[in-house]
Amino acid sequence: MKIVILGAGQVGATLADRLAFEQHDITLVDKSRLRFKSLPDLDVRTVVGHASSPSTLEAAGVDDAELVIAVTNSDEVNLVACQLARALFRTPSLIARVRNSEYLTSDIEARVFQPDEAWTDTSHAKLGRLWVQERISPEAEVTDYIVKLLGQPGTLQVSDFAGGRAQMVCVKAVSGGPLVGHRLVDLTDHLPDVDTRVAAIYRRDRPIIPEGNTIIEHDDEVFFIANRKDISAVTAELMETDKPYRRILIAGGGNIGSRLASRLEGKYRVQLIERDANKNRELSERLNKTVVNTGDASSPKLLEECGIQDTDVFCAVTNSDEANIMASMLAKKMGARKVMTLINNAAYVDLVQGGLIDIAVSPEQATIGSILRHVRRGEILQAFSLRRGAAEALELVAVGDAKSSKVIGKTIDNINLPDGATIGAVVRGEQVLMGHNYIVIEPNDHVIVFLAEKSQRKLNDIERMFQPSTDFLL
Amino acid sequence: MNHSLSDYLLPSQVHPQFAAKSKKRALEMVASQISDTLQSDEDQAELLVDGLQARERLGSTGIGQGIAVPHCRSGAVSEPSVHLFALEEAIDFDALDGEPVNFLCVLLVPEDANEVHLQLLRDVIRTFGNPECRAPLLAARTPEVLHRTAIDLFERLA
Repeated sequence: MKIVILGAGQVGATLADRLAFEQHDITLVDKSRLRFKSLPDLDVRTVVGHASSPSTLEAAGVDDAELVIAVTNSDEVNLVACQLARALFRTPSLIARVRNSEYLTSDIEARVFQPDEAWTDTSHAKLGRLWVQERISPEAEVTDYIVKLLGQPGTLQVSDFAGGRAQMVCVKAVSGGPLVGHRLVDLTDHLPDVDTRVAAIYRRDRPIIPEGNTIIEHDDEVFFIANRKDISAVTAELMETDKPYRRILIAGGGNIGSRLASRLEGKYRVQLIERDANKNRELSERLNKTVVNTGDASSPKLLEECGIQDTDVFCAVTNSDEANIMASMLAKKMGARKVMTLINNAAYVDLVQGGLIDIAVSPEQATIGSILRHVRRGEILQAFSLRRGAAEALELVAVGDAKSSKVIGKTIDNINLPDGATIGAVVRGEQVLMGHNYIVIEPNDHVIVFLAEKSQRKLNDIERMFQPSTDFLL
Repeated sequence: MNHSLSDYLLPSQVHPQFAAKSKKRALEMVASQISDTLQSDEDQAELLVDGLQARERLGSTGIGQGIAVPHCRSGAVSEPSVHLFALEEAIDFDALDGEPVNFLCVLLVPEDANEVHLQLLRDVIRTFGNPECRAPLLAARTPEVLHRTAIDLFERLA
């Protein structure tokens, strides 16, 4: 697919790299030639120019692009670039980065942007609405993600499916958990009322396909899927019960830190550390219950004063990876129960996760899903990149009927998925069904597929499985 | 098979040497050419682009061997209508075999398509999906030859 990315900052460059890797034809646009020089070797075409100027869009080949992603650091430029692309080139899909959270409240969103139907049928287009099909806000998405992780203590990753009715989580098994040292089938005896499905187990970084007889070992990373209300019961089988979190310490009062504090302060006891005294005055006015401290998050004295040894979770979310990592390691050493660290640089994530740092949160990981959805073929509602891109979880709609679809009317054990892919669950209307072999796929089921060792070929195969035959009439 | 392609493929609906340099542009230009041929209004042309694009989002209609069969329902027609476009240059079309596409067989069916229309759709896709069709269709240089070649192939193979 031809894709134009406007803005070669952190988000744009990471996206370009990721999408080029998936064999898409990428053009990257930035107003500064220097930006491109500092980028590693990317297999993409580059164009220098202003993202919101018609001549730049033309030079970048927007007229041939099926998708334009505007991720410059200005909301206004991104929004205007999308309008231009639609008006001048009728671009079929437009994604913009929108940092200002005002745009993203559901009331404003519904009144400002074109409705979803307009993208497939222009007769639904409304006068004066902005043509932006998807609004992404890495800051908001990272915040949501951290809030979700805090809500399921003990989990390393959480992905929502079918509007949150089903969740897939990753938990590291710890000896002491009732199921650790036991076979997977024993889970049914332990939790007779809970239906869950283990999608994959990673042992020493290698995926093993779970079977009934598989014995869970200490340190296994277990991905399982369940109804949201059952997640904590299953998690408790894999580790000694993690008490709910109560005291949270946030390092960094920027875009993410302040959002996080305001989301959390109603439910937890929240403290925040920010270096900039001016910013802190602002924060204190905006936040109701959060205790705001001025200083350096990597100062042992300040951490001590903030009661680090009684802190359940330390979240380092400043805009510097290095500062986040150092502060987190220090906080962990000083007694914080769990540390979560915001890390942009993917290479660092591999370096630190599993050491002193419990959970590395990557903004790319949080954002890529909403973009992959538009890049993949077929009715793909969600695509979560897991284990730093090595695995993926997809929510696909079974389109068509028994005649035109390769999955509809078949039982799950008769669906020929590539090696390492498993159907974790099926969501049918309000019902969440675990992916047991006997389940028969019906039209419009949402099928949740987990792919343990991702490759482009396997992803294509899965997409193809769910695409209706060529003679299917929409 | 009890229908003849000549009922749906008029001589004015074939276009040898059609220029388009990307999948996106090809769908737009095809829609605008078809709207001209059918003398439908501008709104219908817009909806036609939407319809063809929406179908491609579900999965490419590039059936392999350089041939694609974009199709959708359209308010502009009350009977199915078939339009052929031989492209001057092959373009990437996300085809099933990954090969670029240089022949488009576009089929419109009425909004309330019936079983006969769907059968025609299947026959057209099956026939032109036959690798035997490729060389003769691409060799045609004039509309007359392309039209006759397509109808002959359909009668022989469908």
